[in-house]
Amino acid sequence: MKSLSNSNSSHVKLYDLQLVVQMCRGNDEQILKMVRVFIDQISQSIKEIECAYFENDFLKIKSLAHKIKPLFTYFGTSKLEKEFLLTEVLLLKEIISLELELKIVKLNLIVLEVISEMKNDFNITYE
Amino acid sequence: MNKFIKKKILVVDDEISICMLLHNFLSENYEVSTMNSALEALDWLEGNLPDLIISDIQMSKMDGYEFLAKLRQRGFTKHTPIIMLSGRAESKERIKCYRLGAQDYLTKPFNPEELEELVKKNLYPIHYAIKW
Repeated sequence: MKSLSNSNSSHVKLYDLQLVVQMCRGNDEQILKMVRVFIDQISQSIKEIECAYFENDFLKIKSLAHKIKPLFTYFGTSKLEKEFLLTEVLLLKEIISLELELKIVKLNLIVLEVISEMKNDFNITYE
Repeated sequence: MNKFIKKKILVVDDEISICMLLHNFLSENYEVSTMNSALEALDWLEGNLPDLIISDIQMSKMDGYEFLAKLRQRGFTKHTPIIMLSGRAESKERIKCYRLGAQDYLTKPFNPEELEELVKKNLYPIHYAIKW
């Protein structure tokens, strides 16, 4: 397992597990489980947000957004959190726009980057 | 604080990762059970009595408010301390929880140390007060 925090790395990591490590009391096995669950959950939630957007179901989007937002803080995914907050502002207007669509696409790309980095760091091989 | 018998905490949240985080964090000092819905928790409470309940508000099928109201109507959990968790920081949400009978309210994402203090305060109110 590689470094869990970005503090000692020259490359700016897309996540920081400081809080997760604290809450798992440093137990590597639990931390790995948390990372796996985060990967599954974030991929699923972003897919659901995308689907809800194309169905114009803004109520569902708000609910999903509200649910996953705290996870960004726990997993220190600040780039993702920042982009998510910008997307949320557009979502709250409840208007379909090209700007919003592009934001969702960008959000998806960042999620993929975060997941890829986590999988690489923790040697997670499943799809 | 009794070092031999662990106090029981029930965590109710439909977010698996939040349940896992809370379980990992609290199980060092407490016996923690997690449920992913209020309905599941009510079922579990038919045969179990925790010393403290930590519950999310926004949950499908039955939300935290309804769950809280039901807990206060049930004889066995009428006086069980309850800490509500929510992503919403507005005071009207807090007030609603307090009026329904919650002891405390914590906004997600919460600081684990704050949660730990709230748990201690609710499980050991006299010991906590003596510290002052």
